Amino acid sequence: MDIRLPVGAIFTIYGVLLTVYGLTAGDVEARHMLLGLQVNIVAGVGMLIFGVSFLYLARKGTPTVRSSSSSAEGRAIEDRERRTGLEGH
Amino acid sequence: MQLQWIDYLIILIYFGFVIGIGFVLKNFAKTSTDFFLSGRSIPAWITGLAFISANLGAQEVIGMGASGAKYGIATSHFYWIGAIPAMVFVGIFMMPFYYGSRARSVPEYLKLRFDEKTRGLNAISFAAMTVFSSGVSMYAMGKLLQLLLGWDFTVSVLLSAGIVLVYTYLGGLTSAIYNEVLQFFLIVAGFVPLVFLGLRDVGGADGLYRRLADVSSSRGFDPGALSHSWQYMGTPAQNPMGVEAFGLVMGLGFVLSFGYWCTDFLVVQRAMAADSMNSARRTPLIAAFPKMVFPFLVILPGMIAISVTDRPTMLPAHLRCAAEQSAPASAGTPTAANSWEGIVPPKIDDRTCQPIVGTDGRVAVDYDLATPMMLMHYFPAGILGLGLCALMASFMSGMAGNTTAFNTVWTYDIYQSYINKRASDEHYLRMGRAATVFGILISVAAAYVAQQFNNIMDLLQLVFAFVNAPLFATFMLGMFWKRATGHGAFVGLVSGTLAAAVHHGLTLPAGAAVGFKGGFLGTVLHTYPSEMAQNFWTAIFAWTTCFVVTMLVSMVTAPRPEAELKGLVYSLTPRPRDEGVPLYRQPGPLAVVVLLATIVLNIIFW
Repeated sequence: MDIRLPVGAIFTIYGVLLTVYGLTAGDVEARHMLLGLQVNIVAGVGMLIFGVSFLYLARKGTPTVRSSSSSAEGRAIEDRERRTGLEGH
Repeated sequence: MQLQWIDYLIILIYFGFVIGIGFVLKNFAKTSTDFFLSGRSIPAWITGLAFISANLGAQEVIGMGASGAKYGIATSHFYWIGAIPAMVFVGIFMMPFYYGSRARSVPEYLKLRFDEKTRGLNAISFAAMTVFSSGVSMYAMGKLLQLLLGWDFTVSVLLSAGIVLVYTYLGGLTSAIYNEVLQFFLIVAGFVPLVFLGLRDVGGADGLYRRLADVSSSRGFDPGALSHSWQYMGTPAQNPMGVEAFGLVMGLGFVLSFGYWCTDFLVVQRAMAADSMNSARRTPLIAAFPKMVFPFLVILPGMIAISVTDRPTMLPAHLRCAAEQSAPASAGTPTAANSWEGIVPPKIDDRTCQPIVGTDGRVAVDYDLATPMMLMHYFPAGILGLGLCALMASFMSGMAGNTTAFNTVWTYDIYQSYINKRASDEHYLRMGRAATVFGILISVAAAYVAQQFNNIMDLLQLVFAFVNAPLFATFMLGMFWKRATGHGAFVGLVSGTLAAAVHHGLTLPAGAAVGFKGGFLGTVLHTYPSEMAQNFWTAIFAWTTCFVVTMLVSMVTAPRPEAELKGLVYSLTPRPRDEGVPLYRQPGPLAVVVLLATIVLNIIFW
């Protein structure tokens, strides 16, 4: 399991919860305000962005099988193996 | 303080995730190496964050907030002097032996380098220390939740212990590490908004400094004493910590800090789980970056708490009686209502609801409540749940760290070494799981003992401090002096521990009574300006004694043949090479960046 998956998931859930709760709470005490918005909204949006980007990275980071010829590194290895006669064809 | 449904929901989701991670990782723990060392397969950034998170227990978060309120910016010494240099040292110089020797634990390294008795001494004292300290922090957490929210002590303790038990039992070290990463991010997410809200409220850094100057003067110090880390370290009387620069640098910065970061299996285990030598060495260096900026997250809230001028709107459960107190107090008498420092309440006698007055005639302020009061003061429902999650996350990450370190040392260094030498791998895996269960059970029992008899726990922690103080001398000689022998190490450790006890028994901090605080050997030869100064010097004496005795005994005992010490001693081990690794992934350059940044921070907050 990619650790970014659960971290991304919980931050996304918290982000949505806090943002929605902050928008509906109607609490405008000065002490709770950041950047002119209630702290739940600011923190919620921040966590949402972090969570979604972690989910994206987790998805991107999931290993997939690719043929070695699809990357420069793989082609270099194949060349070297061919030169040293490790590969038959 | 009352929680809303949203706060409970956030806490429940957190519980669900940590347990869920344990269930998902259950299938990854098939062999004992998987369970105890994550199969040595974790990338560096994950072990790095786990390394710092395991250290970031509740006592750290609450305690550093409390110290911030008590000592101001000077608390950062616990990070910039008391952690970073040692973290760099363990990554650059010691990890090659820990990871390279393939030792499965710190005591096992001692066995490979020295002998069985040195390992046994270290393994047994370490195992006992981890279960008891995890019990003490469980007690602290249970008491805190009781004070703040009125939650039942037993429910808090059993619930949090149960959750940690489930996920470490199922997934072993991997599960603990994964959860530590999650907990790390939650702690950061909970504390960053708190710092911003608090700082904005007190008028930014300028406003904070102005108010700290007032608090500092009212405590009888120079106005700048709470907002400078080094300037007042010349004499103990000038700074609230009551220490001087030499004791600070040698005691905290050298002996205690290197003793903890370089030899405590709780943190070293995370690096041992790394997927390569390069990753293992980078683990503490990667951890050093968050460690460097943590003072802004955990110390700053404490400093803000004493600077806030408003009265808190929400009171912890145990202070409600103070709010209801209607009888007008005569001028000058301290009452629960007029003895606050900022939003930090005084310590309250439960029965009379009167503040507790110390021996110096001043009201004792309950600094441990600084950070929790900040959460209650600045966080509305919603993010308050997140803040509480951050507190519980810090508690659980510390406890899981203790649990995984305990089950490994128990299984490999005690059970496999002395009880059952030749069992199958499945047997040791089962033993590791069983050790997880009974380790946590002992911790829970210790939490109740701490609740009933605070003195026993004080005594135990004192003994552990004596055992720990000389450890780094043993490791240093073991790793850098091939002549050091097993007999030397063992005798050195024992005499270092005795030296610590004797020093503590012959000295006393100013204003303290003879007893646990010192002086129990009959005469008091020296009085230290503060308890902290006494602790630092106890460590210095213990370390020096261990160092000298180990050398002397080693000189007269037979050394081990050099062939046996390959990979265990610096001069007989090939240097790890980082060829072909990009510069930013090499331990050396990373270490330079970390050290330079730490120097800059020290200068900025001088």
